[in-house]
Amino acid sequence: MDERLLIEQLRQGEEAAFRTIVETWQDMVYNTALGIVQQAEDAEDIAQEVFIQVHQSIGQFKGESKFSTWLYRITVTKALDHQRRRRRKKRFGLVRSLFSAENEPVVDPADFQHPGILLDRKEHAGLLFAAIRQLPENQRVAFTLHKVEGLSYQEVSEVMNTSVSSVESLMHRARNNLKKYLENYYRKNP
Amino acid sequence: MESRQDITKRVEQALSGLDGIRRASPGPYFYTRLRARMEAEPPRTAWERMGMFLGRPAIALAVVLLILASNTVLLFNHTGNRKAATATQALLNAENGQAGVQNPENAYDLASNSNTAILNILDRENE
Repeated sequence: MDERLLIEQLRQGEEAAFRTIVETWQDMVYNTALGIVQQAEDAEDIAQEVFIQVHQSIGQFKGESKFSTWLYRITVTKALDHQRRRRRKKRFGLVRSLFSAENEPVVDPADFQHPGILLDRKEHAGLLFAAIRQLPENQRVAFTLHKVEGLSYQEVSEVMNTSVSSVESLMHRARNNLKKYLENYYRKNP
Repeated sequence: MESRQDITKRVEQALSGLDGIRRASPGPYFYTRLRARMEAEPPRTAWERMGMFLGRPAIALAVVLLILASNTVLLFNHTGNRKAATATQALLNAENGQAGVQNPENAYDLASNSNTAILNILDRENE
């Protein structure tokens, strides 16, 4: 169905249009969130929040960018917010653990396995995801959009609202940082 | 101990770990779960959204800093006005042949008379 027509119908409050939008873009949104937060339950929560926001603020979509670009932006923002909240909770939990004997630790998804990884690459991918978690936010977003979602540098630059050369630079730095992390890991775990 | 070449090879293998990755799906009945959540959580009011926005640590800190900065500016301006008023009064006193301000504490008392003093100067100029 035509994207513009769907958006127009959603603006008019048609639930069928909303359902079609969700079913068309749910994998894209979920996969992006999963790539960033690396936890299935959290990724589903984020994907739901993204579509709730779409439903509530479709009026703010002016059509200046592609609808999918708008969706990617909302997803990335929500996933990063989630990560920041999680880090704050972890820090707070650490402080609390100094004063209290009983508390629930915030566990990092250390052995995250993306369900779309090929069987023979699972081990490498697990390690790579652990390394991606160490990257600064911008590099992590660029790398995830390019490698996990398969977006071109041009598309990544549109989502991140930056130039293609900035994305190239982010990818270059991300790759260097990942190399350093992996080299360190293999030196310590031969 | 692994050679540098071995490590480089393993790093390259790890870096290609995401090659051929397929998109993950949220599982069946995602739309049903989404609708259930939307019905359980009514849309937030504008006040609730504003509260959440102001509740963000970065925003809250920025607001506190803004209030502190505006207070500091107001305080400095107030002190500056008082000094100006004291200086005006001192000039008037000198003009009238009175002694200057000897005691700094008295300078603040003189500040309240500054408006009258300025009006007197204006009257004199008009005459």
